[in-house]
Amino acid sequence: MLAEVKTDCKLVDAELDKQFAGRGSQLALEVQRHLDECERCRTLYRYLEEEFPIGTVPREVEHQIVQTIQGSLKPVSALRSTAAIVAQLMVVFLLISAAVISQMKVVGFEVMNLPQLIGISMILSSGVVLLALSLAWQMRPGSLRRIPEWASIGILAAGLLVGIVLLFPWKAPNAFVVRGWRCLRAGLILAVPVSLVFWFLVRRGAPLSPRSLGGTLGAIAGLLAVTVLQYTCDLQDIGHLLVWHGGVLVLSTLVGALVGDCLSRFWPRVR
Amino acid sequence: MRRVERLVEDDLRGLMVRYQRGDSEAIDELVRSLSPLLWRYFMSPHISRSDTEDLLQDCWVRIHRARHTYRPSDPLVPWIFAIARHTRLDGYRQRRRRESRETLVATPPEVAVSGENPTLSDSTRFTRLLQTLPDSQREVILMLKVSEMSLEEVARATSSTVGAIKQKAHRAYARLREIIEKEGK
Repeated sequence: MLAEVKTDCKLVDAELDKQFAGRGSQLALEVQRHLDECERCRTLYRYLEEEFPIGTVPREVEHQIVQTIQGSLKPVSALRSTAAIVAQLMVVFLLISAAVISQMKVVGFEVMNLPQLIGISMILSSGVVLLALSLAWQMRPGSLRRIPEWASIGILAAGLLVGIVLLFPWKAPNAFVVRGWRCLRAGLILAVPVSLVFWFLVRRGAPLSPRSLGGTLGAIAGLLAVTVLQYTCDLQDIGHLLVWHGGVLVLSTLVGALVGDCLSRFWPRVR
Repeated sequence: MRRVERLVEDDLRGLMVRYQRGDSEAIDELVRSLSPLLWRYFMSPHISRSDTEDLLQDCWVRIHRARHTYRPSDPLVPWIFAIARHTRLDGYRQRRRRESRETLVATPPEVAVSGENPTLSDSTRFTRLLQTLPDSQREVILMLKVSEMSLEEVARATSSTVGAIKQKAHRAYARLREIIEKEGK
């Protein structure tokens, strides 16, 4: 059980937030008054205010680190900006999906009506932006992430789920498994080389969590496969889209995360 | 309050850029400027001194491998601590794996932080209090207080959001108050 935090104690929390946000200033009168009255807040504030002694690193350790680094020191070119990486990933996504779709019959365009076409295209495009941003953030340690990586995948999955349920009709399944399996297999076969292409694009980054990076790479490859299936498949009903097209996204994300996890365990230099 | 800023923050980015260009003097200065902060971050009563040294060395090797991912327009300290955080997590996992296979046959090695002391300073008491916090809260307080980072910098270093960091900090304050109150009785 946490201690009861009184309203006035929260004034101290807010004051600490201000100080840790780098806007430290004179204590407000009410905060000072509360600190005079409340001993636990006074002690906490004193602990957090006090200058903390920094460590003394043994000279020989520092020397060893410097020597190790200097032994392999050579100039490096800095990674491109986040915006440039996002743009590159989106362009590659667009080019690959357009190239694959152009090689197939675009039956999906004919089967979907205008609201369905616009709605699903918007969801798929938003998904590409989300995943490209997530990959760009993961490439650079210390990036300020507006959306955590697993939340990006969750938002995309939720968006697709809601979009499909709202936009597409429910039809009685006809050869549900046979025709669905065909879409799932084609989608997964496409997702494998596509994930390698995206890995090639992000390989210069320094991902701190190979599992998350693998999951996001799997998700973007799965999304590309879903995009291709969406415009080339003649079965545009809720059941087929959710189970078989959605299955491509789910499976490719899971496999990507698993591959990332295995690589980080058995091949530590991947970090 | 901001020690790094006071000491060298203005120079740190310049040093990092020179390091990216292959300047060997720049890495020497960077290691000497930032290692004490990293050392303090890695130190714990549960980690031996030699393990702390290993963590510091491993962290710098990782920083070296990832140096091209730093952009001069971004703050350097969160970039460094994002790498340090994962070094620490991996070190923790490795120690757990190692300890699960080992049997204690001798006295445990010297720890990087001294233990009980009859005349405890506030910082020593605070270090002990921190050990009672859950990992995620302790990490936030360590970065805010010991490494003297801002809320946004901690959010960057932990791949989180400023709101989530504030929430963790507030929970940590509540827990610390509770322990302070108990100790006072």
